[in-house]
Parts: sequence; C-alpha cells; structure tokens
Amino acid sequence: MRRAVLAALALSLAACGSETVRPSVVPPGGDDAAVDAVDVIEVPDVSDAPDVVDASDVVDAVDVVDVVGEDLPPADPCGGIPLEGRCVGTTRVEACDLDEGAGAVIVRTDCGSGERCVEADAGAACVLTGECREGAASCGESGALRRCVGARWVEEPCATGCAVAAGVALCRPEVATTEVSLRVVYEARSPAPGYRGWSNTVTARPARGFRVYSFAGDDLVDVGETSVDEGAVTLRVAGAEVDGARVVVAAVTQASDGTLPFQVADPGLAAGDQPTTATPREPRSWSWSFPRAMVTDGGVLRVTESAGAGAAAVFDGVGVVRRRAAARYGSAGQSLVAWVGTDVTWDCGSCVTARAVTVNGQRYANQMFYRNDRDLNANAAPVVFHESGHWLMNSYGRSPGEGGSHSGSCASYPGLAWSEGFATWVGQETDGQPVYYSSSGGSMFWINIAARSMSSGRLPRPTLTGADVIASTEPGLLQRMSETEVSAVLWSLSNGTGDVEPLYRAVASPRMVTPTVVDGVAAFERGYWSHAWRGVSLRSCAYTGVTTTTRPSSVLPDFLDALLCAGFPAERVDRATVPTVYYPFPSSRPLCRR
Amino acid sequence: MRLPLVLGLLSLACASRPEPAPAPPAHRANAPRRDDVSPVTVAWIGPATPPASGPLQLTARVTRNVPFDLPVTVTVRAPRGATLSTAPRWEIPVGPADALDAPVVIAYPSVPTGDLVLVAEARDDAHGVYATARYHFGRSEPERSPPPVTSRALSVGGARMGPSVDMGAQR
Repeated sequence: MRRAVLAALALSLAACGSETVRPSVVPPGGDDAAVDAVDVIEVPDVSDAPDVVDASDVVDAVDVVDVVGEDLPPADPCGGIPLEGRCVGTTRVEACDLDEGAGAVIVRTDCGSGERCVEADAGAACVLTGECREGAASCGESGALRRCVGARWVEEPCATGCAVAAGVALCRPEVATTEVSLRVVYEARSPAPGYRGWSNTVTARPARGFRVYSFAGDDLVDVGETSVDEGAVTLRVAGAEVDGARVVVAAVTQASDGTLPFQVADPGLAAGDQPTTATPREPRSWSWSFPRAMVTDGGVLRVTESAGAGAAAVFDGVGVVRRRAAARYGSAGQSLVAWVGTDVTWDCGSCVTARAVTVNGQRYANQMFYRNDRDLNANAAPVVFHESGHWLMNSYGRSPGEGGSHSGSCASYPGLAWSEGFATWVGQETDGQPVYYSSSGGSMFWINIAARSMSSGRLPRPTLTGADVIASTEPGLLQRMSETEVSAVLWSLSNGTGDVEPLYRAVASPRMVTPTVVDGVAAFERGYWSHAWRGVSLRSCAYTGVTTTTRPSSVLPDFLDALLCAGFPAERVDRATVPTVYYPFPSSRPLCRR
Repeated sequence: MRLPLVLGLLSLACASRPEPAPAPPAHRANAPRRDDVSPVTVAWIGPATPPASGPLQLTARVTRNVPFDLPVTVTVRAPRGATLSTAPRWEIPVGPADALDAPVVIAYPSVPTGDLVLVAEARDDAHGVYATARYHFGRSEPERSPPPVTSRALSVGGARMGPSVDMGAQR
C-alpha cells in the first residue's frame, strides 16, 4: 500500500511539470554547519524506512557515456589535414587530433612572437626567425637595457644602470625604493572530518614559487619569486606616494628569456561547461595586483577565495610536482598552461592533454583543464597532483593515449588503467598520504589506495583467468583492470612514500618510453597496442566500438619489467601484485630490453 | 583519446596482434580524461517556485553513477519551521548503477528561510561518498562573479600576461 502511494506521488510529480533543481554545492563544514533545527515526525530507523521508488521508468537515468558518432569513422576523418601538422600561411600550424570523445579535432596554433611556421620531415613547427623574441630584455655591456623590438635588439639608455632581478633584465626608475620582506598566501579549505564536504573555515596556505613584480606606474622596479617553503619573498618597492606603485603576484614561472614555461591562465570563457576545444577569449595569466598601501615590510599578501584562490591552489600544487620532477630528472619537462576560469567547468571534468596551444604569443606543449566551480575542487590537492601526474608522464615517460570517461569502479583498458593509476599514485605520493578525494556535483568521494586488501573485494580486481584484450606474452597480463588496482600496486611497490625513486626512474626509462622491434614490428615487449572505443558506459562498465590501434604502448607489465630489470626485488613485486590470486605477473621472468 | 593512425585496422579482433605497421611518426598523447565522476550524486526534483504554504511534494533522487557496492544511507533534513511528512532517513541496498527516486512531502505555514537538505552517504574502510543537494524554496543561489581586474595589463620581459585581479578593489 505504501509503495503504491509513494509511486503514485512520484508519478503525479512527474506529470505536473516538475523541473530539476540543480544540486547545490557541499556546504563548508558539511551540512551539519548549515542545517536548521529539524522537525521530525518519524524516528529515523532503517527497518522502518520508506520504500524506494525505482524511477527508471519514470525518468531518464543519466549515465556518463562517451559516444563518438553513431557510425564508424570515415577512412580519413581529418579531411587531409596531417597529424604532424602543416603550415597555414606563415604564422599558423594546423594539425589534426583524433580524440576519443571528440572525434577528429582540427587544432590551429598560432606561432609565437617573432616566429614563423616551417614545414619539415617531422611536421610543421614554429621557429624563431629574428634575433630575439619580441619584448625580451637583456642588459648590454654598456649598462644599457637591450629590448627586442621588431625581432631585433635595440639598446635603451638606463640612468640607473641595467640590472637583473630574478632573471629579468630591467632598468629601475629614478624613484626612491625600500626593501620589504613579504609572505604570499592563498585561501584554501581542507576536507571536513570524514570527507563530508569542505571545512567551513578557510586557512592560509603559502603561495610557493609565484613570481612577484614590483612596479612604479609602468616601470618595473624589482622582480622576485616566493620561496618554495613559506611563500616568502624580498624585493624593492616604490613609496606609496608614487603613482601606480604596486606589487603584482603572478601564477607563472618565468625563464631567463622572459618566457613562461608554466602558467595558470583564465580562459575568459563564460561560466558553465566548456569543451576543451573551446578557443580562449582574451586569456590572461592569473595574477593579483596589490596597491602599495597593502604592502608592508613583514606583511602578508593574501589571495582570497573571491579573488581566485582556486587558481593559486592549482599553480601551487602543479608547481610542487614540476619542481620535484625537474630535480629528479634534471630537466624542466614540457611547457604547460593550466586553464582555470571562474565557474568554468570542462567537458572532460579535469584533464590534461598534449595538444599544443599558443597563449598570448607563447606556445605550450601541454594543456591542463581544471574545473573551478562551487564544488571548490581546486582545494583537492590529490586531484591537482593527479593531473600533474599526467603532465609528468607526458613529459618524461610515455602516455598510452587512451582516454575518456573512467572510474576506479570499472575495469578499464590496460592503457587507460595504467595512465590513470600512475597519475593517482603520483598524486598520493606527492600528497604524502593514500586517500584520494574529490568533490564533484555536490558530492565528495574518496578512496584509500592503501586499503585495497581491506575492501572485501568491492572494487574490481584482476583475476588469474581474466581475459586479455590483446594477445599477451603470458595469460592475464593484458586484461582490463581497475585504475585503482594499478594505484594500489604502485603504492605497495613504493612502500607508500618510502621508496618512490625506483618507480620514477622506471617510468622514464627507455624500456617504457621507446618502442623496440618485436617480430619486425615497433612495439613494447609486452605487446600492447593502444585501443580506441566509440563509447563507454560507466554504469555498466561496457565499452562499445573498440578498435586496436597501431600505437605501441607500454603499460603496467612493461613497468614491472622495467623495475625488475633495474634490480628491484621480485618479492616486492609479488607482494604488490599477489600473482597467485590476482594479477598473474611472472616476476621471475621479466622481459628486459637487450 | 588517440585513435589509430591507420583506421583501416578496425577489422582487427581485440585478442589478436595487429598487422605490422609503422609506428606513429611522433609521440603524441592527447587523451583528455574525465577524472571526476562521483559514484553517487543526489538532486531534488520539484517546482522551482514552491507554494506559499505547504504541503510541498518533491522527489529525492539518488543516482549511482558507477557500480558502487556499498549501501547508501539517505537523510532529509527539514529547515526550521517545516515538518517532514515522509521519513527523514532510509537506506538503499547495494544494487546496480541507476537512479532511485523517493517522494518527500514537507509541510510549512510559510516559505522556510532555510534549505531542505538531502544527503546520501556511504563508506567503508577503503572508500566512500558524501553527496548533498539543497532545495532553496525558490531562492536563487548567490551569484559568483569573476573578480575585478586592473586596467593595466601585466607585461614583463616580453611575456604578456593581461590584466591582474585588483586586490585594492577586493577590500
């Protein structure tokens, strides 16, 4: 009877023009902080719970499904535009990208200042044509400031003598200055206890590795960079009486040639969901200008939530991974622009792509798209670090190139499981703890990658009889697998945060990065080729329209080989993979590169 | 994600090795990934503008977006001055990914000033989720607008960075 009444109620609601009310954000502090007194007419009791109305026949269920067209792609979905790119005119590169979820995408990239497009065997690329990059500055021998104008160096006299501050050449204006020491912080939130939303109070976190510029009007007075521990910086500033005296904090790194290898930028797009292929409108680097009156010696410059602290959080987090990677690998890695708008979400959620783009005259090899809305997910350090892990793999390793919707609750294709699992491991290792958490659609969810053995088999795990998706060197190595399983394996291999270096070395080793020749074919030893699919349902974990590509990819078993071939103990591999029960990797028979 | 360079290999079976083919001319990894699908989300379904006085009939929707093998506890919290006519708490047993609706009836003499809160929660020792939605009784959520920026554009060493957030205007 009760079921019938409730069902009738639901049906009547569906029939009377109801509309969906957009879910609200998880309030700070969870709901406990915001809920008024409750008038309860029934004592909460599971045994007396109302019937649940299955509305599957009343309303359309919403599934996360990627579908790339209804038909198989044509023979050349790129319409003749090469994947390697071609020049369009003298200053534009046009290339075709083939993305699952978007199909063929034509990417047009404008060359940077002073560059022109040149076609070569490897494809089209922008190359510098003049003496210098427009606007670049350096100090001449005579003490003059040299500035690049029209692709040529032009000397400008400098009464105060050309100086170099934090790698930037400048001619200080003839105004009195004083030295101030500052700390730069941004507002952030931590998860509420039990991961029930975000805390209801903001905390100040140090803004690490940010550029800091001191101006007097249009004249640059000094340049500094905040320290990578406390966000401290010391620089000269003009007096408050000087018109336009201010300090600007920027979410950029800046090389000695003036370029910005990494920046967090506002795409200038309207609030709401945007495709990652959207063209930014008047993009700007996230920076914060503090009037001189707000700058005091020993003071703190605070980037508030309403001023875009989310962008600062993304810069801070990605910066940590970039600095550690640069120190570890001895090179800076690929350039990266991270797009963070105000209330801008992306059709990929948050993601990283190696699709090049030109931003204000500078080309970037990688783009990160980070969702920044009421979910406040820039506070989720594991997610920021996870996305940075994708950049790291692009920069120093080799991405399998499998993408699209995914979930740890599903067994994914080996390439996708490997790249996502590795990125999560990078994230948790960087964060120094094993719990990944994220906030999306008013929901906070979390998973402990160290607690795999305690999860009572609730997450899918590989099996000894799991079917390989492609011919495998040994049975079961190329079966579909949960990305969380991969993360858990890596977390075990590294003893949590205790022994991470062998893993970072392995992922960047030739065994993982460069295909060899196997049976006359360019391949990796474990014989995996990336897969593409037309659609995936995360509800059923079902893939449709799956094809095998000709792209050889290194995946988890190759990684385990790389570890073992470098002398990593086999017993630790076995402890991580549990080959007698779950993932049947033969640690006694690694395939080493000859 | 990167589709094959030679799409003509569509006929290859998943379990077979593809025919020998040249490697891609360059290593490009372009796969955008959807990284934030929550296993459970919730929503209110009902009129955007409620009646001036109750009762109000709403639907509490709990959606399992992925296979999620934990029971989900759902809680409804009424604002001050309102009374729930339906149970404030129930449990959804483990089941397949789907959307589950339950009717909620709330009575009130005048439109409440607080929100009707829907919470779905599930957890064990390894993973969990905490999903919320609020029914605002017709009130709009406060708008978030981009922070004001300076008229001056930032440019240093040839790097054009555009306008800055005006922290003076933020005070």
